[in-house]
Amino acid sequence: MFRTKNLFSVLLAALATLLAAAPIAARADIVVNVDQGVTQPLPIAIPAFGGSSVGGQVSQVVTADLQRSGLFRPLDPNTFVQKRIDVNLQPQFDQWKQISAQALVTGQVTNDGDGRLRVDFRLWDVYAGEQLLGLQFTTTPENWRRLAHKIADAVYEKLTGEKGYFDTRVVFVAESGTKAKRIRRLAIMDQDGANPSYLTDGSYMVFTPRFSSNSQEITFMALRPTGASIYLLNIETGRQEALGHYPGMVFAPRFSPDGRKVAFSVEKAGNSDIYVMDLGSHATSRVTTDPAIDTSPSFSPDGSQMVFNSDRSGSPQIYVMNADGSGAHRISGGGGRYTAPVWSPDGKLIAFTKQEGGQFHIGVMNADGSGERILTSSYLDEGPTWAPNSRVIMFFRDSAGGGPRLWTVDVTGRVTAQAPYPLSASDPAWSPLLN
Amino acid sequence: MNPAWSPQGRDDGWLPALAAAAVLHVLVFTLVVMFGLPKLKPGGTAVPINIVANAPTTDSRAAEQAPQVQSATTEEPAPEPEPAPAPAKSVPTPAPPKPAPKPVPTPAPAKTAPLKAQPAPTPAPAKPSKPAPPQPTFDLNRLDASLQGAIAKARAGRPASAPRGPTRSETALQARPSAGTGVSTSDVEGLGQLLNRLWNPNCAADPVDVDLAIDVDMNGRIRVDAHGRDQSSDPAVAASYIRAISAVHKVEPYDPKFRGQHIPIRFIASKACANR
Repeated sequence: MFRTKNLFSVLLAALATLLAAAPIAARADIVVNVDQGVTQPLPIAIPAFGGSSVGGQVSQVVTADLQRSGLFRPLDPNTFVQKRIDVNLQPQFDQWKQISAQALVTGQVTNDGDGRLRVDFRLWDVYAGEQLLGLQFTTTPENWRRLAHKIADAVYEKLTGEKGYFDTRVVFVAESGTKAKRIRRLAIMDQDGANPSYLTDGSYMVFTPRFSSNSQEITFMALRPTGASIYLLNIETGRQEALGHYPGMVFAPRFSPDGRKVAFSVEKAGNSDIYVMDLGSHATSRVTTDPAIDTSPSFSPDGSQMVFNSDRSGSPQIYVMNADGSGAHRISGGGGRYTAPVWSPDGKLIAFTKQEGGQFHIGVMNADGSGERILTSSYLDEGPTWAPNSRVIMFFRDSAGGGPRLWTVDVTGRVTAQAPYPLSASDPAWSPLLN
Repeated sequence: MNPAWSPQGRDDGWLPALAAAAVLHVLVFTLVVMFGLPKLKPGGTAVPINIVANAPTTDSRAAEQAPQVQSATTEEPAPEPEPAPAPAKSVPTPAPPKPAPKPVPTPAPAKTAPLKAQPAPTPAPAKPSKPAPPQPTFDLNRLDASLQGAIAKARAGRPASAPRGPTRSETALQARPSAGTGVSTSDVEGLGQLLNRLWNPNCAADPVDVDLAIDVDMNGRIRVDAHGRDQSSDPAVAASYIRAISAVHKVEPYDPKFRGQHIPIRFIASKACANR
């Protein structure tokens, strides 16, 4: 009996061993699971575009855009085996694999007979050896930078699945002079700092400029010796229009997503409330009536709600209400003082300024107030504004001694960089994607 | 005798028959596993894999990921941290060891100080069994290096930001080029690990999990079946496929083990991008 039992045990053990050692080829449903990966900026090669002398400049702008996003790692052109590539020929992928390029952008710039600039470009997957994108743009020769931004946007979208944000502009307040005699001028530039220009002459101070959804109009607050007013400015025509006069301070204007309304704050006898003006009829309605300070309204992307800042609970906090003022409720829950909330273009997040622990922070939270994340901290970080793809935030940072500067941070907080504008600037507002 | 093994009323005489039947089953099963399956392989079904094992693969990886060699060497000294704790073990018996400040964090000038601070292996009850920990010739730099190695080891589970060399299981697979009879669990794990190194998931958009399959030809090149990509117009889906397809191509040429195989692969970006 004992021997039999032993034999049986041995057989069972042998069976178990055989099963363990058997090739899993016996299973036809096996799937290789890959669940970690290595998240890093994508190595991309962007050799100088061929053809016209502008080609090199175009590829440089594309390179700078992608690099600044933090999601790409443009490779050093000195390592390229193929320096210039005919855009109509398939690249020699092995040469690009040698330098670990995962993507390759080739292009060519030519001058059309009618004086227009034409750019053909292709995006290649080096390892798959296939073309991912092939586009052609034409424009006037002086517009080549915008064309480069459009190429960067196309590459960005193809490789990340999100819209790009490079063909955009930023309106901001250019600051100069001493603190006692500060000059604050309205200014505008491309998002990469190129083509800066002033929109006002500095004879009065400007604050909080904001773009409309069509990128053609700006609303801002102007402070003159006669008082404060809110203006609309058409940046194409230069036409400027005051949005009425109010008994008291008027500030913090912002367009509704459809561009037909402007929400703003009016301060009277120490009480600030939020108003909305219909730009067609100029009819104004008051949407908050609380005795506390209610300010900094920002519409949700569908226009049905507004996020705003109020100290009705004793300290500045973030609240959300319906666009008609009903259903106001607090969404910020952490310690500290919250100001300047801005709804992201995709509606998922709200950016804000937070003051806590002797420092200022830029942060984001979900639209319901959950998931607060602090992205930056410094002596003074303020005034967040969203890139149109809801991935990057621009703000201004001031130090104890120097003037304010524009900075950017991505929503993960990992990619922070000074914006490519070298002078003092504050109150940035990012435009939607240009048409 | 355990009654559980011999239920009452059973005749011990039928147990050998049971044993014989089991042997028979095992034999049949083994034969089916070893010879029967290839014939059963239906076209287009997911069938396992063979991994690695050809020079081009090995060569290209080595060229691309030279730093790995370094990371491998930094892991070498990992065993060395033992010398440091060793004296501590012997402490209980002898004189109260000075509350030795941990040698690692101390700045350079303290290089000699910890030497004294270390409770030198006192003449105490010698632990003969241990392969003698290096003697008092304590080197702060070596300790630091070894601790770095230990830290690196501890981090090994996390994806590194820089490409690394093949893992042990990958290299093991490379060492068995002739094994062509099927794919073991470690083969699959090896391929999974390799792809984890080569895959740069798209965490910029909302993560999209990607299912694809590859057919490996006799040269180790692949044809990718990514019909999920073609069925979606979502740019985030397309971008996620691009990343996954690029990763599977980076493995080319595939090891002979995989040739002629159809391999389904699932890239789980939702997990890879979590908390990033």
